[in-house]
Amino acid sequence: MIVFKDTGFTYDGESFVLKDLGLSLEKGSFTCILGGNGSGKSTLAKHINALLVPDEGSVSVLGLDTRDEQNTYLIRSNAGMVFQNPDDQLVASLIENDVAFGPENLGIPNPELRQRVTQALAEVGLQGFERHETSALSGGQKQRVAIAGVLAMDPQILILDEASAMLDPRGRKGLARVCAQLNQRGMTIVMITHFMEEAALADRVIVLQAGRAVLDGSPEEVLTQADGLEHLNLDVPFACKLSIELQKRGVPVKTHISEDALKEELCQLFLRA
Amino acid sequence: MPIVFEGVSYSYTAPAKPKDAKKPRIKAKEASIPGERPAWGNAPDALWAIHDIDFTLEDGDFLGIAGHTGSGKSTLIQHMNGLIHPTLGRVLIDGTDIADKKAASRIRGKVGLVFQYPEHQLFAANVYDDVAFGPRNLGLPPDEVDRCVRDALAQVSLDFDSLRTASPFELSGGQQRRVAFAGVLAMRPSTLILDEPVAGLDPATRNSFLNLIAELHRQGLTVVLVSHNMNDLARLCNRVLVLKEGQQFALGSPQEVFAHADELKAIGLGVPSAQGLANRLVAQGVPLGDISAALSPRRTAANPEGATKRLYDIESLADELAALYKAQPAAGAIQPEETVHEGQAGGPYA
Repeated sequence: MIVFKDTGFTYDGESFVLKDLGLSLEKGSFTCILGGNGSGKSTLAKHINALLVPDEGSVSVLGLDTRDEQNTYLIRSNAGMVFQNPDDQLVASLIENDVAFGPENLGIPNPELRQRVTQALAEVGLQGFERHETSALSGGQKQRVAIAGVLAMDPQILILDEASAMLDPRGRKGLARVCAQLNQRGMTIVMITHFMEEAALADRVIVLQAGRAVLDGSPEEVLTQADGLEHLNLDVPFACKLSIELQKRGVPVKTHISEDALKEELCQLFLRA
Repeated sequence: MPIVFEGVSYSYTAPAKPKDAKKPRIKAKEASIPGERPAWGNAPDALWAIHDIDFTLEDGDFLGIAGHTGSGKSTLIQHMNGLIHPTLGRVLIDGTDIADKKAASRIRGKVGLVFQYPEHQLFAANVYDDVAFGPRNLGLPPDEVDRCVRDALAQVSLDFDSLRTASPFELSGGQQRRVAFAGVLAMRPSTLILDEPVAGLDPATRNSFLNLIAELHRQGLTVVLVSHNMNDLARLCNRVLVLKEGQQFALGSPQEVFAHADELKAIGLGVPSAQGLANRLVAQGVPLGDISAALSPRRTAANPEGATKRLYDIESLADELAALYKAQPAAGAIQPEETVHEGQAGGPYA
């Protein structure tokens, strides 16, 4: 569905932000992209909806080459993107107007337009908020409105570029839940984040460093590589850190990435009758 | 220079006018009109952004402030350097009510406030002028300003010579934030208030920033840290203030505050990861912190309160779980590993 082939990209013509990147993301997958500041995460994301096009190699989305300008329109209407700052991406003062902005631009006629807005708001858990003002929303709600705006365009791919970075824990959880639900209904999701708890939700985790994919695998495979992650300026999930500390002290637990799983194993260890 | 909050309330719909400091600043009637537009936050009928806040920030404190979005954190900290004034009650700094304009301007240099995403406020053409803006405004002579800028950049580990002429906008995000920080430190504040100082930074940059803040506190600054990250608050602060809908929900040591995991969860906050897991294990009946119970054949009953006797971090939780494991009578099935790991098992029970 999304294929990066030997992709290279440079902003200034000298240093490459992406280099020899080869990746293939399946339809219906939930991929999380991690990496320190300056590792090329956002640059990668912007290649998926042709905001940037590669200087070397190619990127194809839905089988369409992003370098061909004739494809740009189709690619952008199928790959929606949500950015970091909730205040930067709402365009209208009423929620329904904001969500309708995208599909309206696609030329969707009115009865269907209204239905799309209603449905998109329901999907992000904001049903009945049509007539509310966007300025009165919390950061988490604004991000959900931004997602609804993308959903109303009925895309196949949703890209979140650190969309939870400015949210509080509750807003972050709400956003993660919405993504997981959309993915279950078949949407392809690419999520860029610093938060390991979110990475644990994905079915594939890719770690970028200096524009290259250095780790790639299931969350269990990638997130348990404590030494590797610290080397890449990333956090290790709490459950994984504690598992490793326990192993060092001679307690035979597996290396977990989910706190629930670790808790279960500890309970079994200490509470077996 | 303690900062004392005495019954401080603030309403965005009926703010105080500092000019009329002598008169009662708000008619009681006006403040309690029900059904008015919400002052702030999520509660539709909330008129008070903060209500009846009463505490003292002591010298040398490292105070954490936590609360759900809209709970009044930002409103509260803006009272600390007189950016806004209480609608009711008063804020005393060094015994002086800062509703008085002169007093407020005197202390503003002493209480440095670093807003969220402070790099958005960088404005000067080069790093030097940006950092020098504050001290110049305080009316300091040029050589004194120069010393302030040098010291402030050194405090945030930025190289004066290589960066003084650089445009702040060409620096990386982490460096930009350091410059913005230096701009506040250059005023030589004795109290530093930080609103979500590490939001949006990657983990490595975050850690170096938190270490920087801890170092400034060690050097004698009083620090107020607003954060959603309970791990950071537990690790750094000596006191934590939790706000709920503008009211004081809890104030105490991290240990006291984070013992109430369920109540915090109910208002949308978490507890530090290690403490959260410890609480859940205790709730299931794992006798954490109680080796003798582990030795008795009868398991202790599940403790639904989930309260632990201490505040855990990863190290101490791992230590106690390992101690429990070794104390378990039935755990002896596989013994030989013990000698291998003994050297690493530092901790109270090793």
